[in-house]
Amino acid sequence: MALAQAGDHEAYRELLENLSASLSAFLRRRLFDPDEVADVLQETLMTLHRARHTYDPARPFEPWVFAIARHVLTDHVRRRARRGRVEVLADVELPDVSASEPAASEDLLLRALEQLPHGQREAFTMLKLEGLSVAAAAARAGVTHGALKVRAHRAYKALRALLARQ
Amino acid sequence: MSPQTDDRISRLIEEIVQDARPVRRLWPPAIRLSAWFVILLATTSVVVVAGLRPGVVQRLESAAFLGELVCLSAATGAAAWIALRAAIPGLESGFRRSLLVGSTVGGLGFVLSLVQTRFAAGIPLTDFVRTGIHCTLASIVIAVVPAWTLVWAVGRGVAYRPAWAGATGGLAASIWTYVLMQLRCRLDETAHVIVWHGGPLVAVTAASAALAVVIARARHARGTTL
Repeated sequence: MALAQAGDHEAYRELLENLSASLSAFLRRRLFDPDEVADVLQETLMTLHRARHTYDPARPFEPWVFAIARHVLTDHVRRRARRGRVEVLADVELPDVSASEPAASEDLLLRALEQLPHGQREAFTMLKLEGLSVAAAAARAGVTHGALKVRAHRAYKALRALLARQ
Repeated sequence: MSPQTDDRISRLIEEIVQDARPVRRLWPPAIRLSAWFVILLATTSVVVVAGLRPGVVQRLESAAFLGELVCLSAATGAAAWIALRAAIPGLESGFRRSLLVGSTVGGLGFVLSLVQTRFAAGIPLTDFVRTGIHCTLASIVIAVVPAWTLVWAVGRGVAYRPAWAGATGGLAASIWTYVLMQLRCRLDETAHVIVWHGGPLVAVTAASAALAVVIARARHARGTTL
């Protein structure tokens, strides 16, 4: 790490590759979903990179690394708990068009979906039709969790308005 | 992990490595604390040069006042130490225990400071406010530099809870400001000390917490180049 702090790219690459294996094992013991493990591992590596100036070579390396991993993991678990609540609320708010006339309502929904901007349509499709988690959908769309949730929320609102009109 | 995930991690590592410029290592907390004490000493010197209350030397002979000074100095050091360590991953352990010890010693110092005051009934509100505003402004002016430097020092690290770390840093600066005001202010009236000397302590602590969060967010935003 001391070499990485000095800007040695090769040493840094080797360190991160070695670390990703042990961090992945650490995270797998605490998270069950492999997508979540990958998300938290990525976030941990980025945080470690941003915090690399705080490492003191006079101190042991592992407590520093795993403290960062624990913080990222704790944040992730908290965000997931909050997101869970938001998603449940969003589900409740969604118009239940499929209950009465499944075929007709599906057609209505698809037509309404076509009118949405690409980002909103993609967010809705991944979360509601494909059943992906927010983390997985955000990774696939290449946006942050927050941005994906905003898109999904806008999609719900727009769909609700469109379906109410029809 | 799946091959796609492995690929994603490998790409991320490559991006991180490409982004890796040499960084200036953070000084260890003990050295940063010593540097902060130098700032505190400079602030104290300015306050002494600006003028202390009459009879300070006689006051220093009082056991209660000496006890107050010792307790509040220890609480200042403890709070600054906690704040600086809170900004370095892996050094935050023992945060609650240190906070408990620091608050007990600090609390004892405040009790000792209040024991030396007397409650004066019947002070007109306008007088109470006029003299008090002066002390509050003086407290804020004295606390600004030590609080700002300590919060900035905390912001150089990566505090997991920036608000707490910032608040602890602000508390350290404002406890010492409280001590300096005890050496400067002529009024030993209980309500005056609680409201006008204690009030800025709370305000500076809250402002430091907010500032630490702002600094942490700004640094995080600047650091997200990946």
